[in-house]
Amino acid sequence: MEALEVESVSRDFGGVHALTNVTFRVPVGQRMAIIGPNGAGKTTLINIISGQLPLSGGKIRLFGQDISRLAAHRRVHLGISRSFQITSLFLRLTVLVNMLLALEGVQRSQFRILRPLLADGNLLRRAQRLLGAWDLWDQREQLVSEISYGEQRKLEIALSLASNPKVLLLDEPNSGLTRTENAEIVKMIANLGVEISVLLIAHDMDLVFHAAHRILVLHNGEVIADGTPAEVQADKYVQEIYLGNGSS
Amino acid sequence: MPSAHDGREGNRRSRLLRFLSLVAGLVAVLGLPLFLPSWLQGLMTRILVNAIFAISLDLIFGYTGLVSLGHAGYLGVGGYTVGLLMARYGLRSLWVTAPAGVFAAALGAAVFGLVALRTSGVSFMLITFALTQLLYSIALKWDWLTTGGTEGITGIVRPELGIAGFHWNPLLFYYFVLLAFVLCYLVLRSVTRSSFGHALQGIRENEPRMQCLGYNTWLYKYIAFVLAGAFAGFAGVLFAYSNGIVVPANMGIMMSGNALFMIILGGTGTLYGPVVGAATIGLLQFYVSDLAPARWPLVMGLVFVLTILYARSGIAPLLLKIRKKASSQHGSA
Repeated sequence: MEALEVESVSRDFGGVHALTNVTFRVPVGQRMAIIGPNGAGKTTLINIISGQLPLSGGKIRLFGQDISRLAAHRRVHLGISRSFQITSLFLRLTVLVNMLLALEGVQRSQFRILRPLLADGNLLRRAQRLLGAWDLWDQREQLVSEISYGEQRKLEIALSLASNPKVLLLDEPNSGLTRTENAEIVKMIANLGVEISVLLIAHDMDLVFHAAHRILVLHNGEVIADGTPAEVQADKYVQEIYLGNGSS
Repeated sequence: MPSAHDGREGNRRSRLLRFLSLVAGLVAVLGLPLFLPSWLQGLMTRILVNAIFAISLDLIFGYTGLVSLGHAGYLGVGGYTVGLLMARYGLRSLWVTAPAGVFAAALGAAVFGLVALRTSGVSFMLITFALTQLLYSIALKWDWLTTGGTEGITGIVRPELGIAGFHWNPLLFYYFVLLAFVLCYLVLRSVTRSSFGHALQGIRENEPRMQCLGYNTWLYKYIAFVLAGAFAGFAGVLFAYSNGIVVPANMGIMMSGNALFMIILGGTGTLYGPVVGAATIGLLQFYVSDLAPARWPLVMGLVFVLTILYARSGIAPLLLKIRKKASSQHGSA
């Protein structure tokens, strides 16, 4: 069973081909890394799968269902979730409220208009479990703008897990972190539930070779390699344009 | 370093202070009007009506991050609906005119919201302004609606409650508006503390992220817009009852701008802020106009500049901060 199928997806910005004919599949439970030089189209691809950007051509299927034209929020309800490379949080709200908003994203209770958000015991318990797992429960009363960058990165990923996604898109989850924080995040990603399929963009080869079953290499908007880490490492073309440039 | 004992002392002090200010507030709004001349009762009534209008705007402005320059349009629709029903059709019951005014304003917001919410930022400001100018022209020009042109609609009276032998006086009407204000405040406070209200703040902070968490942000903004329009309509209903007349200028840009000013002055994204703002502006305007009628815009401009320079988050949060500091200093002294 394929969790995610991307079929001949293209995206043009004016005359620029950001993505050309990108095709790949992510089976249920697989961890796939997307690598490629800057400007290869990695974030554009994530934006298209999550629904922030419309595609110019091609199809995207989630568990066989065509989601190519669905609005971003509808895709979340079907099981897609994402994190952002540039931390995208609610800065003037507390850590706890950030998490509660994330938890309610796929719940009908989000439309409750008179019952206080902070009085929902069930929701609070779930928030405690998830924030606790990411060592953020003690910071719950702080505004997000006041916590450290490393904590913001963790919260960024924790929020994307709140909807219990079936397909998780992580855009450079470890960008800008210290070595210790990085190791922690790599471990958390490696420990995600086996039923979650993950598509992650990474520059850090440590993360890629630790967490990924498969690697997709993008270059100038096209897929130039798709295989196991060993296969991709052995690929002459990939070595030439990417790994060989000393970026690992 | 304050000791634990001092901390407790400070805490008790601040609780006492809060209790005392609550009592003082209650005495001021409930007891004071008993001893005031009726024109001052009228001023307090107008301040409360403006406060309802300002908190309704703050739901979309402060909480959702949508700057509307046309919010007075919905106040106008509420007021004109009451005016038309009373002066042209002789319907005077509160139970007919008030719901009709609120419903008409909500309907107006529901239609205009569809257009305005296709945009955001500066375009949203401009389009809300333009749509309200449309209402303004209707009030000014449409003979069929008998809105009375620049003269507006006169002959609006305080509503009949359906209680035998009941007669309004300025004091009773003040208490009636106070009750209406308290109800609006409590409802909007619940709204802002609810899941829905927090989602609005999430949209203000980061709309794309909200979409990626599964929120249909457009729908949220639309519901907030209509809700704010309905409350503004209610303010318009009370405005008409209280003034006895509605004119096109009541839904003009000045009216919308005034409400924005009250919110910014008092404290954006809070409910008590706009109330403080409405009271400050109301009292200032009254006394400045009394001393030097032509100078009011100058004073208002100066107050606005000072607010932006020295109290960016508004005077109400500033006062709270000063009070907190004062009580903690007392505590450790």
